[in-house]
Amino acid sequence: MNKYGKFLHSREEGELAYRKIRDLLEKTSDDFIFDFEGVLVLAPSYCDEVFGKLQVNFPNRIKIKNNTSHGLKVAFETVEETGGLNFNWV
Amino acid sequence: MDSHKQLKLLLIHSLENVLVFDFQEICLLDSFAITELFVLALTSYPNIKKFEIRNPNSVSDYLNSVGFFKQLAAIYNFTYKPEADPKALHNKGIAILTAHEEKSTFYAQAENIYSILLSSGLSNDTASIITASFLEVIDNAFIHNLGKWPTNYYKKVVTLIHHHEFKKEIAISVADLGIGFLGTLKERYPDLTNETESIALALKANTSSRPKNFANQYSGGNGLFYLQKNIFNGLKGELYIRSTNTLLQITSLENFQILNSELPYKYGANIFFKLKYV
Repeated sequence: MNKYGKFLHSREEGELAYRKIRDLLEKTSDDFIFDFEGVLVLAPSYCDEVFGKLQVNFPNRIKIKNNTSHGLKVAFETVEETGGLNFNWV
Repeated sequence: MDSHKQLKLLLIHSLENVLVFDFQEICLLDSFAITELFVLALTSYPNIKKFEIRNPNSVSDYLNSVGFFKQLAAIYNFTYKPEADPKALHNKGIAILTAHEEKSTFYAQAENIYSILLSSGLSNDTASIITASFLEVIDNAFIHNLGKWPTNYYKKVVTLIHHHEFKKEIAISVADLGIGFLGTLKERYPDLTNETESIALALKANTSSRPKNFANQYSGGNGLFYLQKNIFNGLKGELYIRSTNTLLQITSLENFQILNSELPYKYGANIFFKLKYV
């Protein structure tokens, strides 16, 4: 994910990332693993806009890796709790 | 949080477009009070050409040191020069005051803020959470007022980040001059009648100002929920929210007490939070 930036925030940026990832997912039936190595900040709005939508629209095809930072975990937990979602971790 | 009484004493509008700041009765202003003062000046007195500082003291020195008068004057479209060089009272820790019309300007500061927090001794996790919390509130301030700012003059967000090194605490205030919580949520939740109800609703998970069925049936709303999780389930701290005339203290997840519902603000919201770290 760090190719999208070390600071992942704002719904607009999330929307742009979502569209790119959605286009890739639509071209294949493979599952996608998202590696958070190198990401320093993840805001819940960005997380929601990308991974909340991916989990809803491509259920069980995305997995999250290297989300070891507590700051990143809280963003994912927030999206899980507010969206009634469960992410798959690697 | 009775700082609004102090602000009334502090701010005086004199003749000929001079705004007087009298610090005689003022011995302390926290980050919240400082952004509230900034907003109060802009909204109450829109056509100022000069400042007069009466009875300067350590508080006025602090305001000078964070660029309060300089940035306020820039919005009024005049140049303010303090009589003496601002004293760096906040050199043990950080204090950053910013006032901008575009959120991209705040975003450009994110990396700098994160680096400063790290160099102040915070862990990566704490710096990450505080930076994300700050950016989230900024994002909300602009998104919720998109196309709804009362006028172009009101399209402003003012922030102050203060690091209390000895308290091991970061205080952040984000104030905007927009339409407030009720104005933001009323369209989607037409039964709302006042600011208290609106803030209470916004505190709940998945409350969103966006239309239903946005984004393929999925419409999350989670900025304030995230902030509450960090304050009440994580780092520990305090959270206050003012929307137009109403100020609440959030006491635990989705719970609050009303501190004041007759404040002299017609517009805007101010999110003020303190996060403690070890």
